[in-house]
Amino acid sequence: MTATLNCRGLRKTYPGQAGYALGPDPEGVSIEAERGELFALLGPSGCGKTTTLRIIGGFVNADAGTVEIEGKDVSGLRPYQRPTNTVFQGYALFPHMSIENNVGFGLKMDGVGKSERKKRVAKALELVGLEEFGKRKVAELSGGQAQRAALARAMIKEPSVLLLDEPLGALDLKLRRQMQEELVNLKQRSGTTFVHVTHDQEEACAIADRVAVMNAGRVVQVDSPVELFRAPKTAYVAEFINAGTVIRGSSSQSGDVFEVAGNQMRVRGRAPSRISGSRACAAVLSPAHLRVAPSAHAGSAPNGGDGDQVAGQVDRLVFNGSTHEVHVQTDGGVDLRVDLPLGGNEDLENGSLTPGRPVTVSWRPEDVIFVVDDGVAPTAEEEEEIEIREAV
Amino acid sequence: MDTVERSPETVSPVPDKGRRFGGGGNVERDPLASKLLSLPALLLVVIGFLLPLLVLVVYSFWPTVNGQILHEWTFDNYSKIFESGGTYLPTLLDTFKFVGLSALATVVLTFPLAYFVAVKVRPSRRIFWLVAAVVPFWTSYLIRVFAWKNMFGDTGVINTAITKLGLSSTPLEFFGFSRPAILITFVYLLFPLAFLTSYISLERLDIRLLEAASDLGAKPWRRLTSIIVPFAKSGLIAGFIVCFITMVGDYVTPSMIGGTEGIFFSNLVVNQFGGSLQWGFGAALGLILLISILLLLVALRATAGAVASAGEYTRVYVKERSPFLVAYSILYMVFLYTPIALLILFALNDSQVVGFPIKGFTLEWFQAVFDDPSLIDALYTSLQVAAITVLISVVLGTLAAVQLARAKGRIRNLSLLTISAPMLLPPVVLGIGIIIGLNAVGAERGLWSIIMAHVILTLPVATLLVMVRLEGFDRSQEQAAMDLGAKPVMAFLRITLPQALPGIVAAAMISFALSMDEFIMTFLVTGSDVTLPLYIFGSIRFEISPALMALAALIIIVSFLLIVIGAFVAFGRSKALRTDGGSK
Repeated sequence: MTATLNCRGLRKTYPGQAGYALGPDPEGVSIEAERGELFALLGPSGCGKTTTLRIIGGFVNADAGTVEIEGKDVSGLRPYQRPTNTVFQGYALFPHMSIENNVGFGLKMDGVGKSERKKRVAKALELVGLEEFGKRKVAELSGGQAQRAALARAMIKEPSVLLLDEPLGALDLKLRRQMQEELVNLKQRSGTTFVHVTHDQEEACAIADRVAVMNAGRVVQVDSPVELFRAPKTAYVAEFINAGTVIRGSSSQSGDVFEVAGNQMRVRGRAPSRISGSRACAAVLSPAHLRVAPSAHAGSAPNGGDGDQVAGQVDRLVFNGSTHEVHVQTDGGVDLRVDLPLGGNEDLENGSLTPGRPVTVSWRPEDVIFVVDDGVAPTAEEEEEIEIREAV
Repeated sequence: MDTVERSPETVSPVPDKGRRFGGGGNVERDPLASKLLSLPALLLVVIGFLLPLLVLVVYSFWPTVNGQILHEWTFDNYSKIFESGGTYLPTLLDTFKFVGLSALATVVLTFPLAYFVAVKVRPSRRIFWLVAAVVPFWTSYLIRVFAWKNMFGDTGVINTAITKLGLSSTPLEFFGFSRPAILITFVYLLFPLAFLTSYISLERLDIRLLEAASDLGAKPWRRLTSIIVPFAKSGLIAGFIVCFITMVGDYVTPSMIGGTEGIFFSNLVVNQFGGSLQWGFGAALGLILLISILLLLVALRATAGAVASAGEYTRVYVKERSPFLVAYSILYMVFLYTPIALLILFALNDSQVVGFPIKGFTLEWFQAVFDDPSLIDALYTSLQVAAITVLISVVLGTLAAVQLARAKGRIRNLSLLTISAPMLLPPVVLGIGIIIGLNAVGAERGLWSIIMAHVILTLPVATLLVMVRLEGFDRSQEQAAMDLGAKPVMAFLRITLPQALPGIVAAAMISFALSMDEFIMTFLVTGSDVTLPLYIFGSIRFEISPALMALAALIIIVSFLLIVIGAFVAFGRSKALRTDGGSK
């Protein structure tokens, strides 16, 4: 496999803004996307993901670094000279043109003749299931149809790299799920390389072959979704992709046993190979790997736990359609989530896990993931606040 | 895939830092953000507006002796204004008081109608009210003054009716040529502007705010004072300012309607440039007027405070009926259209005398209009002036708007302020500025000085109209076009311009209408050329003939048709655009 897209050492500052929006470290940001891959840039607002996409598309010139596509340096090229096409946030369809003319616009700019254009527009509309809608105006499309039209318009020129800027952000949940599936299908049929920007970790993990998790202008980790969950590199990644409860604290190691002791609880596990004991560390407890059992009386386990288990009481029960989430507040004040599979749980059925009941949460040492603590990911609420501020 | 081969000659190494930050936007190297685009418009305003104002300042310190300007520095002109017992300062105060009252009356009397249309009328029907309310504005200013001149006076329609009906044995002074008559005429003249500014600010009023206020126990009166008026405050103040500036610079209406009570400050200013040729003194008077207005603007700005949030445009309206508002609105329409209807009626009356009784139907007076060669000449001159004015204003205004809509920061704000500055001054000051400027460089007046004046007047309007349209435009559409292979200029021509077209068309229409109707400046800056408003003024000043009624009726009918057609064409478009916005 060869890299279709190769970005090296990208850095960017914006006038009037302190610091680097992208690439605060001197070596800058480098990413590679393989041919035919769906590569997601995932991170909160202001992490540099959109800047990266816009540098690739040619809308923003990087202060440093190069962009290579198909082995050719395109850094100095304007958007209309690059072999990339973009699905814009909010689609940016031309409201004064029909869908046909929107989709055919790129070919017209390239001087493709009328009859050839007509054929290719029809094919592109068919590809996204809009055969019947060519004559319509943009205003007459639903959100999902507009999304498809934008896709057809961007794909008709068969770009080497298709850039998608939060393309599903404006759709409701159900439609978003459906469009995620269609995107994957489209990518497989066309063999085009997709670079997809999103702040939605579920979306990134659902459709991407690989995900680059970004924070504060840096790429923190690039991996497949499975690998991200199995082995997040840092506390930030674990928290952002929602891999489990993150316990921060000081670490210590004795032989094979590694321990993170936070203010509220201790977690013991198998010593990881990647982390040396001296740095700030965190333990990640995945909800699928935790067990919960009723305890005879409150405080049966030590307050902060003994490293393999912790005492607390059930805070609330949430049924999310595929699992029961048991939210436990430990005596030390940590919120832990335990996922129980459907059916066959006696404790759940006989009412020992109702809110307020004392419970013990336990785990196997080998299931604990230890990560470097590199800062806190914003919560959904903070994220929303940032977006509101930026919109103003 | 060989698409990478496109335009290899522009491949450059890693861009050097800083070079591409021009324009401040994210898309760098945008040729349409070049400041050169605003330059022609700016130059025009500087030459046609700022320089003449400077000359005005200089002239105000020079004395006039025997009709000749002497180049000696002196404060004589000012000390003459400020000397005790003089008539100038009292007249200024009197003018400001009366005009302030008139502007206030216009805004207050118009507010219920604006509220009714913006909040109580179903959105699909609003267009009828809007057109009905605004159409009179686009019929000639002078004709509208004339329509009221016809109503007032001892032998005017109103007093004739009163005496004939036996309500009073003698004509009532209130309906003579006096201050109340001027006030009524001013309200009538400026009503559409006050209506539009109030309407625009009220249109976005979220009626749920009113429901919330009621829910929290606010009585109707409290709703008005604590929700509606504060929400519309900026619109009300804007309306007051527009009315005030127009009224204070109007030297025609007072002298035509006010009789002996119709001498206002602007009349004093203009008189200095007529027979008495006191140019230096006139310049000083003009400057005093200008400074007084600026002080008033600053004071109003301070009281206006922060502008309330605009709110969202909604299609929601209050369905609850309000007989008072309906009756008020209908009466207002009667007030608007009665003088116009009477003009048309008298134009068709087979009688040498203008007024009642109606003796029969004739088209003779219309025939007389077309038989008058000097009228045809005036019309031709006006069309010529208007066409050239529209061309210059719209082209220069659009170029400037394209750049200003893309720019940010200080230079942009300064450019915008410069271009729109002529709108903040009454045309009478602009007019004397231009003739003094021409006098200073020793240039002859002619058709071109009229065009110059009209361009100064219409350029700000054209620029702002196009800019508003371009600013609401989603720039990512241009980026999408470039992403699909369009060069920046092509992206602008194919994507931006077509969508800005309604703004450009509106700018052209409004500039045309303003130019065709302009009297205040034209009267001052013309040489020997006679435009249509000048011709009309010359005719209506002394005698009211049935032929004049026919001319007025013709102008009203033609502008009415043009506006109605234009409004419905534009409304069809904006309806389509609104649904675009709604889908986002």
